[in-house]
Amino acid sequence: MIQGVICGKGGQGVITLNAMIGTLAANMGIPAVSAETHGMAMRGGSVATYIKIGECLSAAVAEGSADFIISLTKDEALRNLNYIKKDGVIIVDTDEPFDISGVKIISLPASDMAEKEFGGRIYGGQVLLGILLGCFDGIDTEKALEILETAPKISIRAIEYGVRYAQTH
Amino acid sequence: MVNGFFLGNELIALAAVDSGVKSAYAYPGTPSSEILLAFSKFAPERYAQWSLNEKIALELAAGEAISGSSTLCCMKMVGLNVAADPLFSVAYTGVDGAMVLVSADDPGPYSSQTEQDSRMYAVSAKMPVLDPCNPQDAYRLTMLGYQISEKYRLPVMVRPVMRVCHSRQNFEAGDVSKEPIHGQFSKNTPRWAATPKFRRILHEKLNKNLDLLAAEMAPKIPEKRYDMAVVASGYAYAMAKDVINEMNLPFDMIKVDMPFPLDKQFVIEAEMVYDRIVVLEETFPVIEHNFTIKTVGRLTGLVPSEGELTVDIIADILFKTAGMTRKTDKAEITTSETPVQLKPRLCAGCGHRPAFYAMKLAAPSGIFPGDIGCYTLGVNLDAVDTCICMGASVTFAEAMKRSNPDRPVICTIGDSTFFHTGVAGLTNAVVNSAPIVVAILDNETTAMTGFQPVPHKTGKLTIEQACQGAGVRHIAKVDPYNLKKGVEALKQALAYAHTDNSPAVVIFTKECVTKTRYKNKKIAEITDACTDCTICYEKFECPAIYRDKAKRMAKIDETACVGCMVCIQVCPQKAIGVKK
Ligand code: SF4
Ligand code: SF4
Repeated sequence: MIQGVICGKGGQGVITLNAMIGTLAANMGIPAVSAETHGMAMRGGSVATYIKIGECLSAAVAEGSADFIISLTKDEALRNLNYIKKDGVIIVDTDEPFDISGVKIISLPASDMAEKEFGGRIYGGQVLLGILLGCFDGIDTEKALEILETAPKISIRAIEYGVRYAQTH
Repeated sequence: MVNGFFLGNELIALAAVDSGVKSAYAYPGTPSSEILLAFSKFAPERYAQWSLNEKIALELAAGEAISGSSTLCCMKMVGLNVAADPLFSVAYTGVDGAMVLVSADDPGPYSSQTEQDSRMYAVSAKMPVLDPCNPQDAYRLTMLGYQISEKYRLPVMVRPVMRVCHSRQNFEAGDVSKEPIHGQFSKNTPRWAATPKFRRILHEKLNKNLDLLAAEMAPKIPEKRYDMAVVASGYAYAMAKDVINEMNLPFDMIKVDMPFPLDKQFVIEAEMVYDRIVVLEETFPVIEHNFTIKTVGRLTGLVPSEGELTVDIIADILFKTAGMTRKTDKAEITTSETPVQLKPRLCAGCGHRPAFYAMKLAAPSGIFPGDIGCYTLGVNLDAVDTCICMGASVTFAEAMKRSNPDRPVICTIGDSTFFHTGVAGLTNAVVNSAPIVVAILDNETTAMTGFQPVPHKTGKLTIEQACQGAGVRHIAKVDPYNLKKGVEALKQALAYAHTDNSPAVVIFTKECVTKTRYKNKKIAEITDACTDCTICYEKFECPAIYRDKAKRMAKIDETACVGCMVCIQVCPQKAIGVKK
């Protein structure tokens, strides 16, 4: 079972990113459950979504049990630190330095990079997803990319960019 | 054949389509809003309506079901308060076709005024209620709801919590879609127009049906492995099951699909078989109330009575009951950083913001009753003083004015909320001579819940006509981006209300900014004349403006600014201009 928290600010595409990961799992034939928040929080408030990949009934991630956190802002990564487990990885979109120890952190200005490379900040999430695929042993990267073929071209390029980034950094 | 990763709400809609639903009715409300949309997506040829409010939606769904058709009705739990009148009555008459009422609850709460439990309504109205634990289960139980409804000719409630509505899960559907069930009304006065005498007979029949149904749906007691059992329904069941499996806890699991009516025999047997029963459910002790001995839960103080049940709360409860200690693999993190608290705000360029700002300028000592929608976020601008329920802005304005006759009262209500329950309140204010100003914030959509259509965009009526029909004689229309005109219109409306002793209406119309496609948009720019007075980014709180700490002045986020140019009108230093 892989458990994750995907978070950020309302309007940044957090929900889309979570659904993308779940769809990927579903297409790979692995059961998955995710949970989102809609409504008030989407107006620029904190948004946290959860996903569990594997045999389970709920998407509820317990404290200290997330294998990964993907955060589209530094603040939301900090807010959700209690979920990450010992050997988990936190992937954060930020250009600020991150003073933190005790857990693996990959931080990079993904949205800025996405704007430069793909003409839209919104693809930052896909870059982060690529990084997850590239650095996380739990998912078969090759197979994932094969299945993602049907996604929009630009999304795939952003994901591949992330995979390469993870493999070279 | 449908395959993929689906929202709980989408699978509820798919089950309705597959069950042969002919017509679907709803009023939007988080977390229920996506159901009707998905219904139309899966079956575009079938009838779907966004009704004006939940009472109307339920009456329409019931009316067709009484005519022998199969219908779906969807709302959030506070909407069920509005629809409570037909709910209780239709539970007695039953239906001739089939009807499922989906009432989505919001433990937390995340987007609601209360944490009420729709299942309590089901109990007091005597309507069977099903409580799904995740999206796949929501599909199964909605299908089952239609089977029960058809068999017993009773309306059935399905109660998903937010975590079920807004969870996604992999799902593979077969080709099971039924043709829409279309019936004909057959007269039966003792049933459909029952007088009190016949009502008693209907009630008796209903009670008998409920007993039969309870027995048919009695939860299964598994082959006994442990002395302790968890009896649970809904998302609490899904979480408890995951915790028990992952952490190997010594409990048998019993899933309750239908918390009401619950089979009495099942309760007696469960209490005989187990030494200890933990009942987990959200948000009220509906199942737990049936148990008398050996049972712990909310009634014994073990389960918290407020807030959403989380997997950590459930794990702690189960470990405690089992007399075990919980260990986690939590990372030991050290950091000197603390996250900045983010609060939801109106979007950059939202037309509501300048309308609120104008109210504060027009009536600095005013009282501002507010309402339900994005514009409840007017609290950030100190321009929303009360928020009670749909439509209560107008009635509260009348009441506040009566209690505070010396202070100006301006209430705000959105376009969708105005048609939902605002019109009746406005009529009451006219009839009872309330000198208030009603600011209608018209963004031409139901934005908060995902942009559902609004009545006046059909071209069949206007907001002015509705106000005129309610008897309002002073109606002004303004573009909120013109701050000066907005303030003037509000001042005139206040003056009119006080001299004529009657409500005045100001309609602020601006299309929701998320719908506007800006081409070659111009944006605003802050010059060195800025004195860092904080007005534009704190009082006016446009999210596209932030404080440049180093320069000690306001700065505009060019990707976020939509160029409404209201900040130019707000800045007292004339420090903001259009970027060349
Ligand atoms: S309102 Fe004008 S002077 Fe005040 S902080 Fe904003 S730009 Fe500067
Ligand atoms: S023009 Fe001013 S008020 Fe309007 S969105 Fe841009 S920064 Fe905000």
